[in-house]
Amino acid sequence: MHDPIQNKITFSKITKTFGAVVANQEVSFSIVKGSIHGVVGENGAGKSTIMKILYGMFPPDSGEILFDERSITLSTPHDAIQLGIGMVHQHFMLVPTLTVWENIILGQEPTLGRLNKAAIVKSLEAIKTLYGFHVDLNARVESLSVGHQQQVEILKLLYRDASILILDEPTAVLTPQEVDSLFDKLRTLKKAGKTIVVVTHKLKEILKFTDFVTVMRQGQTIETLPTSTLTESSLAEKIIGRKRIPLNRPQVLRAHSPILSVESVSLTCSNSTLLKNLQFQVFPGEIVGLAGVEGHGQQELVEILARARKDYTGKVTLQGKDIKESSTYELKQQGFSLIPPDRYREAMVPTFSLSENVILGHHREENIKSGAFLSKEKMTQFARELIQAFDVRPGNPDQEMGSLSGGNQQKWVVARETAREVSFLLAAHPTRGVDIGAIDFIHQHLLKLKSQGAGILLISSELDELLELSDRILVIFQGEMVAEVEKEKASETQLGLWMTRGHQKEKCP
Amino acid sequence: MSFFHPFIILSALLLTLLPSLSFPQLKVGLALDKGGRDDKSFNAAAFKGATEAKEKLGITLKTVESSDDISLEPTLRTFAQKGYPLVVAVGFVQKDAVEKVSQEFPKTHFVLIDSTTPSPNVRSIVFKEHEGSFLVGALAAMASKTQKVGFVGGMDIPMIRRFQMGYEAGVKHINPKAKVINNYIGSTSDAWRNPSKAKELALSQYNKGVDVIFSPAGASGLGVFDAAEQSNKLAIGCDSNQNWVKPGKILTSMLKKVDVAVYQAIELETRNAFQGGIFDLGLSDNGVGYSLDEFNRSLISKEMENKINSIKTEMAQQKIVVPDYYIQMKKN
Amino acid sequence: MNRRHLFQVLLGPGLAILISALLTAGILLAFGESPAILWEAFTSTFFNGFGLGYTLFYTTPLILTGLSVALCFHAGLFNIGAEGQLHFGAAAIIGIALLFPHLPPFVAIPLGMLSSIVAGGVWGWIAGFLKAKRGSHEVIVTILLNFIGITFVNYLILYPFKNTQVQNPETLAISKSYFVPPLSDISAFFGSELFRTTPVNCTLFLSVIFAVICHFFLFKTVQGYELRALGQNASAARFNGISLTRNTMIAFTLAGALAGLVGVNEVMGFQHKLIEGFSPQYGFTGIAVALMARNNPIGIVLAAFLFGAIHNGAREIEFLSERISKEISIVMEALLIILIAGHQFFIAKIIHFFKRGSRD
Repeated sequence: MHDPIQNKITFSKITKTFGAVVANQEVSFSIVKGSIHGVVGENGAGKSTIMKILYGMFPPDSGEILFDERSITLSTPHDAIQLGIGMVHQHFMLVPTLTVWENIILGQEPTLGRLNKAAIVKSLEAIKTLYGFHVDLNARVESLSVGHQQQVEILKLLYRDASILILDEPTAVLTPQEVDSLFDKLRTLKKAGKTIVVVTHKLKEILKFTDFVTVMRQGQTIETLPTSTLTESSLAEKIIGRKRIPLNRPQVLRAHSPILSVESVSLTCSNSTLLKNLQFQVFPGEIVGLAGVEGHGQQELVEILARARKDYTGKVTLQGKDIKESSTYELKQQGFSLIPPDRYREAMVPTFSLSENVILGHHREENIKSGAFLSKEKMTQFARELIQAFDVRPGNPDQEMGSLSGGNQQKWVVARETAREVSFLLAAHPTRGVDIGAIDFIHQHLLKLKSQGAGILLISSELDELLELSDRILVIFQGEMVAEVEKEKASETQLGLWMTRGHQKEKCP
Repeated sequence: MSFFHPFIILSALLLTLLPSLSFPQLKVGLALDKGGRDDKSFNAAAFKGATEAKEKLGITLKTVESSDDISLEPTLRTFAQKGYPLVVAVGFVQKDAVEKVSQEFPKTHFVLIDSTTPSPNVRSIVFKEHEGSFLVGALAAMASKTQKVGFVGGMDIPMIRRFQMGYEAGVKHINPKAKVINNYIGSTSDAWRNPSKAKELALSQYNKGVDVIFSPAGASGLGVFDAAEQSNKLAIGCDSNQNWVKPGKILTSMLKKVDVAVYQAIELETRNAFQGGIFDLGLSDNGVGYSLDEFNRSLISKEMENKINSIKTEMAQQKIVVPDYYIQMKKN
Repeated sequence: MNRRHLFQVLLGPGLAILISALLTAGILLAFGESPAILWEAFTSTFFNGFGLGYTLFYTTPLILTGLSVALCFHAGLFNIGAEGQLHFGAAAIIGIALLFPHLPPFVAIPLGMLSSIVAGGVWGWIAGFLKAKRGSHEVIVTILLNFIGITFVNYLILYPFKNTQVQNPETLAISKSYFVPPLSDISAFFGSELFRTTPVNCTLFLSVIFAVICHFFLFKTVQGYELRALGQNASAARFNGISLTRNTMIAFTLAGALAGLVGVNEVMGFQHKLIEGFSPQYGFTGIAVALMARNNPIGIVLAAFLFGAIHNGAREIEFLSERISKEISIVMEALLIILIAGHQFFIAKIIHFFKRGSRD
């Protein structure tokens, strides 16, 4: 009876509120030391908050954290680090222009005297071999892949002797192969006695790699159980609190003329080829998936389609008309919609209210303004209708959009982009950082648009998503289309290989 | 011990009461322009005169520097409202303000330096700068070995042109062949506060063979002195006696006796003998002159001194008439 | 805006004022001067018609430059060029007034105002154009345009428009029909002596009206919406068809026009001529005003009043103290700016401290 308690980190009735929002309500669960522990829940379920409390980033309003039965106070991350707690944030905290070893010692460097590089590198090499990391300590961080940058973050924690590692959405930006390699390393760490807490919304990873799972919903802990007792659907139901609705994929006959046509588009920027002779079409009523590891030209393609850059060669036509000849506003009027890849940076104005955000791009339409003025009444009316239709919470049109959860923000972007009749939708990472409930909702909405005859280009790094929604899948590698497959013939492994190694032999069947 | 307490308290009381028990002092307000009391030149001269009056005549002096031109007027008005019987306004920028406020407060006496206004309660004091400049011009010509002398004016306004014209006439009076090189620092009021530009101009004049430079330029004149020291040449100060600033490098200073004028005005007020009107002070009124003290004694020979004295006499006898830019300007 | 929200908005600046006043008092004490003179100077700038008149006179241009800076801030741009823009506005009035001296007041006054708006606007537009079309950094551009603009206006004052009858570098006077009535005329009409002999004039109302217009423009119009969207998130705005080029030029043109109106206060309302060096850096103080008000147009009116009072109070300090000179006002302004700029740091820490205290 005594031992298990000795080796636990226990949250006891932790409550944390931000203004009127209750982020955590009497959260209680235990993490067994030396295990891989998953924390899952929809966005806004409070999982990030409870982890940030553990990392000392904000103090709880009430409740306590027990460490081996002893109550501890964490008022700053420094306190947490002292206790051996470390955290890898979703967005890495690295200085791109510094080298790996410099990044690792950043914040730990001696305030006086010289850096003893040799000693640091020596101890880092020891850590690397012990846990099987392969990073060049002298490489600049900006030259590393995302997967390697993550390794640097983890090394940083190990260098500080962390025994409890918190990873917030570690796989969001990784390829399937990188995910496997990450969890291999986490297993090694576990064997060495480290405790690992993974915050994620990806059910497959939870089931495959963790020992225990804590499910959170609406700021509360629902249950903590051994992973072995769960299946994907039972876990999903616990997370969203209801059964998942199966997707209904409508079959639409392909029309004769494409809605979007990309004709030999190339893009070179200061001697490096970003896009190479891209050639594809999207027809009304079909979803074309674009698979690829991030940074292989997707962003540039989005910018070209969104008319944010015009320095390309070749031609892009929408309904037969060159997009260079119309303004963004005119394209919108033609039913061109866009869900940009980076929601927070490109799709919304965080400090604007919901109603101000929902008119972005529509703000010059007659049904929003009256004369030179924006009509508050019409804006609110418009916002209310969409809040209802898309079930956005909290549903106050005057609330700042930045204060919503990621899933609700994304729903709101989708709502805005599809509020008018859509002929072509460019959906770039439409479900990134979004919880399961919202993913289902957005997927269904995309399929609904397809059934209404819209052509959709879906860019995603989630192969599951592409396979589930697309009719055709294109693979982009180093700015070049390396494969095109009908959905029925595509397999996850094959796509993964094309994404990482290109595809020399079978060019677009 | 407690015996001492009443004694200490009493003496403390006496000490604090003493000043107010004495004869009621004359309150004098001194309003300086943007140059401020530390310009070592024009404002400094006014401040010196007022301070002297404070020490010798036992007046209460309140000095206020303006932070911008807009605050000139309310400063004068505040002095009047607070019951200062005499307010000294230094600088021609204060002309409009004095004109306005003196009409509002006819019982308050004002002294306006460097400009004139017709109100009867204003003592407007202007100086015959050209006469003093003539003297230092003559000295410059006598001291020059290269037969080239320089002039670095502050702001290009009629008043400084008047300095220049008198100076040139003085130079030519001694040596008709001598060359005078003229430069102005600028045409905005920044020219009074730009010693680095002044130094540049002075250095280039020295490089051209000039060996004496006269610089009526407010605080900018300090730059000319720097240049004189650096090039081991001579400079002539202005307004105040500036000989002490760089001893041995300053030939003399053209004195514009603002200090004397201010002192006199205050002194008259203490005797209830204030007189309004316009006072144009020249050499004969001892309003302008040149300085000779221990700092420049070695630079000015007896011979030079005698020559200047004879010029002074000739000027008093109207044998020498110094050209006046103001009159010339009106003719054109 | 509910009451709680309003309280939170005012709490930061309120604390900043209090702390800077306390620190300034501390400095006075350190120099052996009674901190009471700070209070005395403060009251003299508020609680009598004379002091208040000058405070309001300084407030007027600060509202306009504050708005000018804030408008650009809302669009994510930094306008350091208000100083040059206001010089242009003032010079334009002189030009027009000397060119058409015989117009009746009901034509002359609007014409004078319009000319200052247009001239300031054009000078602002140049900065916007260079930023939008040539990609030059607006901070550099506006700083350099200040030099050019002020020098050019000084040239106009010293040569074409110069009053050769006086020593002071100033222009000829404008004709009476261009005069904007001082507030003392209005109070005299009602038999009051309020504001007598102070230069505060009807431009004050104009600037307050413009603050209200700015508020409506920014928060209620389509154009204002575009500017704010651009300022808050330029890439999102561009993805949604809001033109960076067009809006940059609009923001700078409007900012210049607002700054240009300072000329109305100076030339038509007070001096009736233009004096070289007439602006005690209104354009730069405007940055502090906008910062203090966190770019809220209505807040700018209050912040401008505060800075006007501090500036005016400096004169009073000169009278009250032998040891302390007017520069103490610059110290206090600087403290305010530091505290406001470091708001997150200082004020938030203090608020946090008190919240903690009240909870425990």
